[in-house]
Amino acid sequence: MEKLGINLPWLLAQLINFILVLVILRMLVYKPVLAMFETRKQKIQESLDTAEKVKADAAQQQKEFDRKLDDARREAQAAAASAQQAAEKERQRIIAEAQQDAEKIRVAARGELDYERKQMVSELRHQVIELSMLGAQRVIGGNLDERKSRQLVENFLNEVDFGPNGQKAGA
Amino acid sequence: MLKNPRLWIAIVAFLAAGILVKMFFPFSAAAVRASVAIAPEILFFIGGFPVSPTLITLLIVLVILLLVSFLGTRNMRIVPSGLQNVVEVVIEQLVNLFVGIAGPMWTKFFAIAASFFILLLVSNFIGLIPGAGSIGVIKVGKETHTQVVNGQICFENEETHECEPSGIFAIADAPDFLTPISLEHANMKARGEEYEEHGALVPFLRAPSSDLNMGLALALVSVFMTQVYGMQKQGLRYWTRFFSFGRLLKGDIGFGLIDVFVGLVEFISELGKIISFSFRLFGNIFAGEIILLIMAFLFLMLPFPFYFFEFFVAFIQAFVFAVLTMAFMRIATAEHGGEGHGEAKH
Amino acid sequence: MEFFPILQAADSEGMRLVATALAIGLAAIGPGIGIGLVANGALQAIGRNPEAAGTLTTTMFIGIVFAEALAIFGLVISFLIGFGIF
Repeated sequence: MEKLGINLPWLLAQLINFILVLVILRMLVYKPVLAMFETRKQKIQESLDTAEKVKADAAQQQKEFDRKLDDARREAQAAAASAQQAAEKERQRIIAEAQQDAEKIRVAARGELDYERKQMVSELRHQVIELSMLGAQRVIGGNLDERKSRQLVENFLNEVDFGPNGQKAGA
Repeated sequence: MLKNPRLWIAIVAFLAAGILVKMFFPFSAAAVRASVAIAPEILFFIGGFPVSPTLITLLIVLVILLLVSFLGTRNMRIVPSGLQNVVEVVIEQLVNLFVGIAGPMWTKFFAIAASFFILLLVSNFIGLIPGAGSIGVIKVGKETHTQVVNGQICFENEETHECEPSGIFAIADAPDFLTPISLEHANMKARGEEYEEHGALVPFLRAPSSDLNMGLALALVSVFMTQVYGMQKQGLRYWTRFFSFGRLLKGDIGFGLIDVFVGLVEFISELGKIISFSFRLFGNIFAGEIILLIMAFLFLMLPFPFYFFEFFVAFIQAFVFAVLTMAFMRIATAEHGGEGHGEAKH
Repeated sequence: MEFFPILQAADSEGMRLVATALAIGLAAIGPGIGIGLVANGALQAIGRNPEAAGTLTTTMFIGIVFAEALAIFGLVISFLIGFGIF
């Protein structure tokens, strides 16, 4: 054995050395390094998770934004449409009012015209009677029964009978 | 390549230099014999404890490991840099390796197997540093076996009694506290026996793993811890692996005897593990040292290719020691019942 | 010994050296072949399934080591004889 170099003190020295190495490496290397591996793993997982979440959040927000934009657009459209409708209604109303007014004015004008014509016709008739009376008096000399002749002309005129517009009735 | 004259000049110059060196310092078997020692020799004693070159180197290895592991993990950061990177790469590779061998059991065996690997790797590599194994003190023989001629150590030829120049140089006289002596002679001296000291070169540094004690100590730890883990996992049933009298006691003589025999073989192979572990390491590293030595004595620069090979061997031996420990531990914890598979036979 | 005069002529030191060389030399033959076979198998397997190279390399080393152990025993015996321990 001693020729091979084996002896107890050296063997014990080697054993003690190995135990020292084991303790040193375990304390200084294995524990912290393996713990570090674990921490790093967790950290990477964590950041991956966070990235995933941020991405999901961003997608969610984009969606929300899109939805809001859509809403706004639709609202604006609706407002524009309703405004247009109101304007149309107003236009209609104004037109209708204007037409109504025009009609009213026309009717009023016609009424006045009618009245005036009637007035004129009656005046004309009156004057015709007067004139014819005067003419007849001149012709036959003034003793003419006023009341009777007037009745006569009146009858004649009634026979002729001008329409409201002056034309002969029945013509 | 063949047409490059510079290359030819370099080759011729190299060969000429080699031949010139060999003319002045011829190969001397005595020098090789003086430089090869299977058992590390004792450099000096500290309070009766013999200190060998391998123990000095072992102390250096311990300091290196302590420094590297302290500096590498002093302030660990999530984003590693510098030495922390190196430490983490080594540990991560080991973890991957052991997970491949032992599966989920690796955490239990990791500390021991990884320590084997790291300790042996540094131990093996440190022996390859130029100067380790070749710079040391000359152990002078008692009679005229060793002389110094022109600064060169001469070893007396045993037959012709002529002085052979060795190519080993003595630069100065060794300091007084160095008392190089071989282990065997130290023991004989302690017993008060007569002995005759031979001249030899005792290096200051030598790979710790080229000391059989290291392989033996680590092998003992490995095999012992394998039994401990096996028993932790399987309880007393683990021992039926070696001593299986179950079927013999039940009266089944034929298979009972076979069981007993298989258990015996298993037991012997367990002891054989200690021998093969220790001698594999020792044999490879020691043989590497001798090969480098002989190549150096043979011709200039000849050790160069072998140097690379020795780096490879140094790594492989550390690797194999750790992997085998892991594999044996897994086998010991995974085996059920006393049916030896003979897988540990080697 | 009478049949081998050359061995008779050799002294015990010479015999020891011959035994040393034979011990390791003969012990290296079998493991040499065995390691070759292991490496052969491993390389073929890696060639067929390159993804498994890592596991196969580890297993190959374990196999090589078992074969090598026999050579180690030869080496031990060779040391024991060569350094005069026997």
